[in-house]
Amino acid sequence: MGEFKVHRVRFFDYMPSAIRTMAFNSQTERLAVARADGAVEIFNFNDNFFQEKVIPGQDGRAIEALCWVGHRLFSAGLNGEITEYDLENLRPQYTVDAYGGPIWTISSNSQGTQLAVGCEDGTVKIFAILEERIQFQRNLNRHKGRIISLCWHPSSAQIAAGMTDMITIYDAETGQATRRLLVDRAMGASKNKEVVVWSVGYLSDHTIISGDSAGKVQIWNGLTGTLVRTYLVTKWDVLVLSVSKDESSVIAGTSEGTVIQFQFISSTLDQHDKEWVRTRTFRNHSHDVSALAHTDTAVVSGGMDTQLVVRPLLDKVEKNTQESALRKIAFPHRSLVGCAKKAGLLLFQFPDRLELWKLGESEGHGEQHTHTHTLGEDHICCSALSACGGWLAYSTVSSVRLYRIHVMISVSSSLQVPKLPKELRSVHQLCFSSDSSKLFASSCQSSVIVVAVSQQECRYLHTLKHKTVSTMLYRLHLLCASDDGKWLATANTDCEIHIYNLHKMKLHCMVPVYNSCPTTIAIHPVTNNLISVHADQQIFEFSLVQKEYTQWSRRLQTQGLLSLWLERDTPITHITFNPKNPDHIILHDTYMFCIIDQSLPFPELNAVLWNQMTLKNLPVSQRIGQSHAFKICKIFQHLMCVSLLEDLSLVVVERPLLDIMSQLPAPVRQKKFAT
Amino acid sequence: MFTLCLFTGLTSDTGCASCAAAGLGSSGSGRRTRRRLGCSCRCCGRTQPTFPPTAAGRRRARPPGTHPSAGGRRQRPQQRPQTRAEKQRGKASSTSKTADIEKPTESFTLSLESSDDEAPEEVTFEDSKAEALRSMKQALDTARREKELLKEKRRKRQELFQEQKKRKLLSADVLEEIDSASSKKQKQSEDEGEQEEKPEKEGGDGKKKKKKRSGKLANARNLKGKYTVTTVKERTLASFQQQVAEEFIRSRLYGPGTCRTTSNEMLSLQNKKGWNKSAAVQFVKKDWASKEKAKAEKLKKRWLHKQQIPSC
Repeated sequence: MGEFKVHRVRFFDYMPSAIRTMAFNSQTERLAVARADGAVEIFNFNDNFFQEKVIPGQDGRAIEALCWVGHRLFSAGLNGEITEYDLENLRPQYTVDAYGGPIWTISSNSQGTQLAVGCEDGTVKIFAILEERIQFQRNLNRHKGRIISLCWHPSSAQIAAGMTDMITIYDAETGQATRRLLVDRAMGASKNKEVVVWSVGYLSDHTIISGDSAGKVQIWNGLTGTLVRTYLVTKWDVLVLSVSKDESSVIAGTSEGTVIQFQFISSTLDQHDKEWVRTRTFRNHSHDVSALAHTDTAVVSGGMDTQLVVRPLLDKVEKNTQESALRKIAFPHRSLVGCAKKAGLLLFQFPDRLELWKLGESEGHGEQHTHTHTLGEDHICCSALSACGGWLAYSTVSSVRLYRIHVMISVSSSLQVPKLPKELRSVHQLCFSSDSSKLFASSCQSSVIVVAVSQQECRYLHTLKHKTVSTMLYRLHLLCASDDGKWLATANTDCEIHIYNLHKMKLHCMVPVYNSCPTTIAIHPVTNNLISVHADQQIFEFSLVQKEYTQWSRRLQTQGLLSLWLERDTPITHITFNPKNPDHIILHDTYMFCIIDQSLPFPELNAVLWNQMTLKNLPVSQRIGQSHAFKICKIFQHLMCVSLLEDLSLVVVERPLLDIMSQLPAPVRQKKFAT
Repeated sequence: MFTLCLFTGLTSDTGCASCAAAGLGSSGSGRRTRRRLGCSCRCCGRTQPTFPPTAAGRRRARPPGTHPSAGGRRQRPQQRPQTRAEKQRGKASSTSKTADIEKPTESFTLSLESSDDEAPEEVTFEDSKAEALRSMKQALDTARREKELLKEKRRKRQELFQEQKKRKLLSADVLEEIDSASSKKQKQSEDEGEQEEKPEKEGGDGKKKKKKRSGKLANARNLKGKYTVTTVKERTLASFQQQVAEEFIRSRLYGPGTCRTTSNEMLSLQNKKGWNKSAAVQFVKKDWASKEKAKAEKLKKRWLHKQQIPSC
């Protein structure tokens, strides 16, 4: 197989940001997750929970609540603004100031015509949802104290608002507060501390369910305003509630990291006397759970430990299948590390800065060379480093920056290129050509802007476009240029892959659409075949010259990939090739990196996938019989990037989860027996 | 008309009989001469031979209360048990008195006991002045010493508090980061107006970048080109409200009263209760808790040093 010298890099201090809130759109099966740094991520639940889109955050945009209205996504935050996002161009479309101070919650009625926001000043403001915008309609009666949570009744006639020490039910037509439900404070020492109703749910039979900071989940009768049942579930706060669509199940998330399910079932076998009963407890988090979504088949939770956990409910899915597995999504589904193969440089992308490192010669540490800060508050959307290490480019939602890098022995300098073409406005993906003479940028409407990059200036060359059938024009999230400079491959979230001929500057062909989104693409330097790996872990090889799938790819599809390969839960985020051996394809995901040898046979269906250890123990003569194409190595864990430099040394960028966990904020202190 | 005998304190109209018997002239004047020719102790009746008045005797007036058993006021402090007041004043004062008294009383001992009827000792003005000055100086000395002691105590306490405060504060580089972040935020509010021009002027981009780079010299930069300046009032108000709201969340979730622990504790407990039981995380991972480890090293060195000193 080969021996590689490995540069094991552990100085990438990547710190994901805590999940603040989430919202599930059952029509499109998309989950929108808002993080503490203002970033919004969209996960596609149909496509193996792939993180399709990421809208980069902004300083000061502290999102507190998210809301789907049809296909539109709204968010409200502590900066007092309601933002609608453009999900095609992946940026905020517009913001509307609610003029009520920080906004704590946002909710739309079931018809999707009105949007209610709860503000710091104690008012509930109703906005009308129009075609391209929202418009302020009126305020409901103002109350003393901030409105922390809101919920519409399914008939859109009432709104339940949770505040400090009470829940108020408003009539949505008149704006009057019809009922006030007083919530008890905590027992014992914290009687003086006010109780905050963090979350409310309003069911169609006028039952109100509330979760508060005293750790109680209370069930109220909304018509009479009386308390039906109290459950004390935790000593800390119950931060979030989520009601299932059929209103038979409610989940509550606590500061302890547990998610508790309540179901509306009858205690005896006959169906008459149904009541809310506490059923399951899920302990999948170590820190506070601050966001929950109850889908039809699963419970999705996220919180301060930055991981998104999808727990399928075993009474809704079949046991012991891929469907019923617990999924934890801890790392982003795209590569944050750029590698300059010829120069031995690494580029780390953080939300607010970039770090450029030079790999050390010996086992010592790499040296840090430059730090680039972003202008303004926008976070970095994407970045790229040229292969020779001389050019660096990054983009935010509003601008693009290009830098010329000079790396000497112990010092480096970077010079910004001042005048960039005006076409380079808002760019979602950047890629340098292999000879560093051109920069490709994916711009709006699935087009690619080609810009010539040279010492003196940066000149706009061409825009590559294609004709498309569908009306929705998705952004390109993957760009890849071939080594000989002739081909450019692009992929968008609609699962289309287009190939452009750079010599003629026009579309060459389109790869047949596969129903799963590609997670990474690469063009082989020697054979000019396009390798694409998709979210459902399928691998395809497409010949660019012949415009068809290669023989190897067809054989792989006929044979089928092993179930162990298909059941991996993290996507492949990077493909690279071995200059010495053209048969090798090196891929990696978070838990392993794999070298696929195209000259070896595929593993049989009952073969062992991870057979490297057994092969090592066998004598050399017997190894050939047992070995197959997939050589998997799991030594390095929590990989951010695996790349092969020109001098055939392997660069492995790791970020152990323990290092991330050690820097998280304080968890609750649980007194356990014998500790 | 009565005459008061200055030596014996008796009043008589003719003169003090005892003084007359002793051969002392009854002098109604204030002159206090001392001629010891044989005194008889009034209380005990002992007749003591007198000695010629010595220079030491002249210098010293009979301090009050020196007579052993004169009753009431006149009592020798050496044999009388110390009163509480005297104890509070400090033995020093009484011992100083007694010390002072010791020496001269040695020469007086015989004479004092029998000097009740005698005329009081002659003390010159210089002596008494010197005595008074000395006692005053002493008093001032003691007062000053006490003040100094108190000052020392107070200073030490202050230093201790300062040290504790320093320990509580964040390390210098974190403070620097916060400083630079806050100055960056200030600059952003000034850049607000500039950002309006951004889509039209890419030429300004480089300049803006340079301005960002100039960092803390915000006031020193020169505004070139077309830039609009907008008021920052609403923004600061909004951000203040946002800060208040964030403070509310933080205090409810992480404030006092919420039992929170550190990630280190949590991971260490997981190590303790896990399948493969291992040590707390700061011992498992090398780069954890480096400050505590350094402190422990120092303490160990100091302890070893201390152990070695008495042995060598």
